[in-house]
Amino acid sequence: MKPTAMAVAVVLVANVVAVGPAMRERAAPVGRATVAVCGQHLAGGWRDGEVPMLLLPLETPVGGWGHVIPRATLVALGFDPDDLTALGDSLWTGGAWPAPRRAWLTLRQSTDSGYRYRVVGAHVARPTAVSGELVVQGLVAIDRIWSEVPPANDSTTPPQRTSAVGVQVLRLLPSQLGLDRAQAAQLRPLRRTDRWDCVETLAVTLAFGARGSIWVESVSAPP
Amino acid sequence: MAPTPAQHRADQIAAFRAELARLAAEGVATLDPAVQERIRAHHDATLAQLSATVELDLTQGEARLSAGMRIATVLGAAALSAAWGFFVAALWNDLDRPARLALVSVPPVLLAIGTSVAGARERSGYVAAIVATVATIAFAVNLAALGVLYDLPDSRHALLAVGLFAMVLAYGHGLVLPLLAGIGALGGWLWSLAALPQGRWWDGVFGQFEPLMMLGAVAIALPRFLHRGPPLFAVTYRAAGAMALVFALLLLGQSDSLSVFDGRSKSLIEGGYQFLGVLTFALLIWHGLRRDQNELVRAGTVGMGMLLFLRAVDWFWDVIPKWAFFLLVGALAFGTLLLLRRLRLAGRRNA
Repeated sequence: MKPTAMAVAVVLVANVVAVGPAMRERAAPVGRATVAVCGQHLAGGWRDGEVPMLLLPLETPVGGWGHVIPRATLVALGFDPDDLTALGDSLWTGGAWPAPRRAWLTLRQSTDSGYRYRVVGAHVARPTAVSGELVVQGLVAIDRIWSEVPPANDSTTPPQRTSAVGVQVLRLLPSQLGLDRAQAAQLRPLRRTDRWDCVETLAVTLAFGARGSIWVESVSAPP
Repeated sequence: MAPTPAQHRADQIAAFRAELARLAAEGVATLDPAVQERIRAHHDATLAQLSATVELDLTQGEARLSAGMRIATVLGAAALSAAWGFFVAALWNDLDRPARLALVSVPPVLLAIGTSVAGARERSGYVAAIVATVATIAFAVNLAALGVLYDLPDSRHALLAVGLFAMVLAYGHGLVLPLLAGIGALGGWLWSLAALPQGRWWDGVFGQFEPLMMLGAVAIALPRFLHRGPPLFAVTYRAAGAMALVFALLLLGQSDSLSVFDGRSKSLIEGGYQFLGVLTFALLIWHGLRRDQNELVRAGTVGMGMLLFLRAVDWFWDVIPKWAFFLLVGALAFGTLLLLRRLRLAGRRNA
């Protein structure tokens, strides 16, 4: 019975270590933010009974996020200063890309049609969230960033694709947030199979834990 | 797969009896009936003693059935694990949080107990191996589901936990299949540690194959220092390690972008690993022949063959006609056959 007891102990310890801190954080959230969610912010949930996940989609600024994540911050995050010499270079054909670095990102939701999130800062340590901002972890990378620039006042010509080395947020950690069945049911009216725009929105309250976790706390009822 | 010492002894007894019968039938020699009876009684007692501890194949037919049972074990474990994964996915959306938590965290515990029961009731270990492997997969599903349930960032420590769980079941009940799962999971965790000095996110290192190469070498050497578990465990470590080593060296020899040194001279990195590959594969074959470790000989031969083929493609595919290319590959195969034949003859002369 000794190996069985040890195996059961491994399961119990792993579950407690994984869930314990998360449950404690959820019991006493340190902050909240209300965001607008539209159908384009939901992933999955197309099949009957499947619960979708909530995405925090980032804007894709031309040239990347270098204007809000300066070189000094990149060095503080762990990037080698030599890796930063390629930033902005459109003809760079050097060696390997530097390893992405984990950072605490502050996000602010834009009010334009996509309700996407704009990165307003990157930090080594978790910053205190100010009103209207989200603080989440993400992977910051230096990479080639492709941009499509439409020719001015000419909708008939296809956009011009350009690229340059820039600062990019590869993904958020976690990359999507879970919804329970009640929350998913409240958000379901946002999903229209025949429409991909982002006109209708619902207010969703996100909560933050003391150690940086983030989760969906509630969904407001539609007006 | 190499036989266990008990199976090896049983095979020797069967071969002795068959040869004795043949010698008698051909009129070469016949043992004195009293001596023959004493030997038979001794062998019967030995086989009974061995059979009391492990399940043995006493005839060719039983050996063939055992091979089928091993295949059925792997297929059964894979099918039941898939069934479990799909079952959780099917129920997941209809349950609230506490029920979801119970759905994923209770089964690994029950299956760990089930492994113990199966191991005690069925001595061959086939059923216990299936239950233990499904338990390992259920535990992996458990940890992945917790990440979804509590919006946790992904973590390398899930691999450590799954690896430890599989190892406890493998060593506790002497099961090879969970040992393979444990080697894979713990190997993945150790591989991810290479991200730490580089400041990468834990999974950002799985595109670099030097750590896998080193882990493969460690796994090959490990049975010399780790003497716990049935003899098949040593073979499993060496086979898994040799496969990792061969796979990593072949990839590194093909593309510099898979190396920690990516960004430096492409030809130096790829050429260096091709050279290291030739040396390593030859060493695997030589060491395997010397120590009678078939798994190393097979891995080294496959690695050398693949390396030669990939080099031939890189060097000649674009510069010689296709028929000449395949003629060259055929010639390489002949060359390998001749080399292995010479090795076999040399081994026979030395024996």
